[in-house]
Order: sequence, then structure tokens, then C-alpha cells
Amino acid sequence: MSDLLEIDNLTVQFRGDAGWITAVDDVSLSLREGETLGIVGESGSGKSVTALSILRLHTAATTRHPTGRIIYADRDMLALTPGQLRAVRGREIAMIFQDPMSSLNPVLTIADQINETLRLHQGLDAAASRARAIELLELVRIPDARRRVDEYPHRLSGGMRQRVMIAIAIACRPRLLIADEPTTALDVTIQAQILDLLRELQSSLGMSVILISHDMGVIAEFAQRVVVMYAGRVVETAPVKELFRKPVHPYTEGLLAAIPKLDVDVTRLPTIRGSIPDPAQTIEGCRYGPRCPVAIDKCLIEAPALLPVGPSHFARCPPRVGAP
Amino acid sequence: MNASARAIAGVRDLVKIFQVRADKGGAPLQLHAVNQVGFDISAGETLGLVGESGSGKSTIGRLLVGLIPPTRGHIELFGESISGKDGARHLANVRSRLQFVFQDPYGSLNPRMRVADCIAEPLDIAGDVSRRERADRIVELLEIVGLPRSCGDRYPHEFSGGQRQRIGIARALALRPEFIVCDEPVSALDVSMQAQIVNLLLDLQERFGLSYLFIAHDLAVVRSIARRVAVMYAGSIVEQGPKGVIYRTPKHPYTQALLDAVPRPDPERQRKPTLTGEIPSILDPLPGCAFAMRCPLVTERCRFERPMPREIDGGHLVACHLA
Repeated sequence: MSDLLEIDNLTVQFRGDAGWITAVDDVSLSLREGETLGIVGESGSGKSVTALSILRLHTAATTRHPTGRIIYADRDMLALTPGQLRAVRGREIAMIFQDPMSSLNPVLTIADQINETLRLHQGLDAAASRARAIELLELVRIPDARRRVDEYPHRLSGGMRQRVMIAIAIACRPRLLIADEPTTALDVTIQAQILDLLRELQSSLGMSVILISHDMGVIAEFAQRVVVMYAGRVVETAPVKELFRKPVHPYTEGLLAAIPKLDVDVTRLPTIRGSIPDPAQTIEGCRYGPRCPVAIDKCLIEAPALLPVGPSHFARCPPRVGAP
Repeated sequence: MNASARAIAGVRDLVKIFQVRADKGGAPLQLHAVNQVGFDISAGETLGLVGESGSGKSTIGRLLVGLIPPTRGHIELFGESISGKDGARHLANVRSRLQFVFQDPYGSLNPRMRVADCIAEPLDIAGDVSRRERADRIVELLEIVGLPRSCGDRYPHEFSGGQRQRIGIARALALRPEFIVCDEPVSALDVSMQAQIVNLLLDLQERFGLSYLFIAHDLAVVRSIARRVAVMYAGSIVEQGPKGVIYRTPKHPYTQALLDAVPRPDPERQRKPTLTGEIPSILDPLPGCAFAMRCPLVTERCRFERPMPREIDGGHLVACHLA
């Protein structure tokens, strides 16, 4: 299968107090048609910034134009005009976020917000778009859709609001859905419902999905292939089973070990020493070097390359991957 | 053995109803945040209180340390009733022996105070420390929570989330408490920081013989720190017991569903079918079991008769007609 999305050497910089801060540093990844790609990392890893770059949703005033290439269906997203971008946003590529309340307009009804997308991209008239809005709410399993469509967002629970966001996102049957921490603000039983819903919609609509999460459990359950990011860089990428069974990068390994265990009693969790580096600080060599238990001198001097570990498994770690 | 059996906190038939007004001038509604809850915490142990949002777990934490008064029921701390006639006086007697650690340490640290002063504030309020003792205690507290001495001269905003939580813990320890209510202390932290703070809390417990009420929505975090666990749903404790029993052989259908719903870092795992529906409104609780609407095993009796906790095994209480 061909790649629907290919990101090559993407670098994104923000204006900081003392110069440019590199939030995403030389990130490359690809997504096949129909695939679910998980991007996992802790705060400041660059996972959300990478995703926002695909639709160029950064604040222009504080962001340098990203360098590198983002090729979506043979178009370079970084070279599109604002008009061309608008045609892609919401129609071909849709996005949902962690907090549905801040993405929904509190003074518009659910119908108004879904209609906005339908009228803009599909040119439906009022009656047709209302009927379609109800149909979409039913599709995302909002009970009593005919009544709910005229309510305001504050009347809905967190789970229901996220369903509304999903309804808006799938309104134009996008080819790619980017879900940025879609269940992080939700309770665990509601999270399970939303993940099930996303999975069903993905297969019925044939969408590709990029799921961004800090939660290794959500990634394990949902993704087919995983990209692990740390401090703005990709440190490892592998098919999901391989990543969880045989992690190669010490950060992936440390992160998996540090997760509290639900199914066994562990008295003390293994920890990763130190803390996530300040993005404003420049680190020569491997970003994880100062915290890494297997770092060698070379790691602290020279930024390691992403090298193949096996078929479609890559890691950025000289002590573990093919150091000549 | 005697020491570990000493009761630190005891709660019986605790009820908290908040009066809320949905509309201006409208009739007040009763929000049943905590509905007939009972549990005990003995010296040196950790009770984990888990539940989803709105289950009432944080309200219990606030009731227990006297931040808000209960509507009904009994709360005992260190053998003194803080809910009865002389409650206020008793609470004042035991106040310095209990502390609170919050989810967002940044919200509880004054941004214009140096870390040293934040940590020493409880000492300043309690009074009666010399400048020398104060300075020594700050150094000692920083060391205890694993922060370098130099941190004392800096301000809270200069620290990461994990370090701020260490500062919050140092401040909680300032008056040498015996009992700490930790309300979601690691939920705002990244995984690699969570493990550090959980381990710190375990170390402190061992070193100072602390007791914790550990409130969290994350079942796995609770398993890593608690000895006994109480599971809350819509204001009630539906099941409580020793950790091993709750996680290995849960008896309440809600506990079972909750454990099943947590995604595991294991791509091979197949999750069981999800619970349908959402948490019921606690504004106007229905008679019967609060979980009845979502329960896969629901019977007629569950809908009109509220199940009370029954002990089905040593220390294992389940509030379910079917258990």
C-alpha cells in the first residue's frame, strides 16, 4: 500500500524568551492508507506540535515556517496557499482534541456547529444539513439525537461532547483523522466507549488515523504502528506488538517499565532518573543521554541517527543499534 | 503489631449533600456527593480511594481533614470525633497531625514566595520556632524529598511538575504529620515522574510511619501504593477490601467493569465489551443501586432497594445484592 502521508525531516521552532526553541527536530514518519499510527511521548516530546504541523495550525506570529516536507496525497502541505489549505482542513484531514469544550462554541447549538462544516465543504442547504447532522449524531451513538441536536454544548457530558467533536470531524468523510489525546480528559469507562467508537468509524469509513497519546495502554490497544517521541525527536518506531515485546531504545524501555502495573503487585516501580529536558536548552548528542542508563561517550557528543533494527523497526541508539 | 492496629481515621455513615441552584431564584437542588460511606485507616497503612469523576472521592478527602463539614455521619481522627458536639475543638487539637497534598502543587504554592518560605510556612503559622531551627528544618525537608539545598532560594515557577510536587510534599511534612490525605498527587505528572513520586511517598511512609488516604482515578497507581482499596461510584463505596482481593477477585460488577475498561500496555489483550451509559446524576438519586442503570447483571430488586455493604470475607465489603 502506498503512503497517504509522509513527513520528512520536519523541524518546527517557536519564538522563546531567548531565541528560537526547537519543539520538533528533524522528525520523519509515514502513514499508509487505512493505517492507525500511534504517536506516544511525554510532555514536551513534540507529538502534538508534529500533528498540528500537518494542518499548519500553529500560531503564525510565534512560529517559524516549518522546514522539511509534509507530503499528503502527493501535495506538499507546507507549500499550500491558505485557500488550498482550507479545502483540505476538515474535508480531507480532520482533527479532534483533548478538550472538546474548548473546541466547541458555547453559544452555538450542536446543529449550528455541525452545519458549519457541512455547508462550507458540501454546500448543503439548511434542511439537508440538519437532517445530516442528526444522522451524524446517531452515527456517533448520541441517544435522542433529534432533541440533542438543538442543545448547547454545556448541556452535554464530557463523553457526549467528544462524540459531537467526532461527528463534526467525520462529517465530510475525511481520509485522515488526527486524534490528539482524544480520551485523556475522560473517565476510563467513557474512554473505552470512545475508543470503541473510533475503531468502528475507522473501519466503516475507511479512514487512516493518527492517534496521539501519552498513555501506553491506549496506544497498545489502538495503534498498529507506533512512533515514540522524546524531547522533539523520534527515538523509536515499530509495529505495535514488536514495540511492546522488544523495545530497543532505553527510553521506550524505561517508559514501559515505569508504568504502574494493574495486573500484578509491584512494590516499587523502576524509575527514569532526572526529568524531561527544558526545550530551550540545547543538548549536544542524544537528548536522552543525560538520563540514559546505557549511554556511552559517543551518545553525549553526537546526535544519533535513526537506524534499522529489523523490518519497519527503527531506533536512535548507538549502543544498541548497529554501532560500527 | 499493636502500633499498626491503632486507628488513625474512622468514618461511619458519612453523608455530604451540597445545596446547588441550577437557575437564579430557582428552588435549591440537593447534590448527594457522599452517600453513607464508612471506612477505617490504621496507623502506617494506605487506603486507596478510587473512582471516576464526580464519584465523591475528593469530597471525602476534604471532609476527613475538616475542610468542609459533613451533613450527617461520624468522623473520628486519632480517636477524637471531629463531627460531634465538640468537633471544632477536637479538630483544632489534631490539626497539626494531618496534612493534605493536592493534585496541582503549583496551585497551592504562592508564586511570589521562595521555595524555602513555602516549605516553612506551616512552621511560621504554628509558631514557636527559632530562626536557626527554621533554617535547619528547611534544609532537612529538602533533603527528605530529594531536592538539592539550593532550591530553597528559587521560586516555584522555576521547577518542573514533578519537582513542584516534591515541594508540596516537603511542605506537608513540615509539622511532622502522622496522616496525609493525598488527592490525585500524581495525576498531572508524566509517567516517568509519576513513578518517582509514588516511590517517594512509599519511602516517606516507611521512614516516618505515615498513614495515607490516597485518592486517585488511576487504578494502576493505586495498586502500586495502597494496602487496602475502596471503590466509589456516584457517592457510595461499592466495594472495599485488601488490595489483592479487589484487583484479583473483584465482586462488584462496577469494580469488574472498571478494571476491564483500563487499557493495558499489552497489544495482545482483547478488552471485554464496554459498559454502556454514563455515570448517573447525583442531583436526584434514584432509589436502589446507583449502578443499576449500567449493570449487566441488574435484577428487579436492584432498582428499588439500595444494597448496603456486606462483609463477604475478612475485611472485604461489597454493596451488591448479587455478591
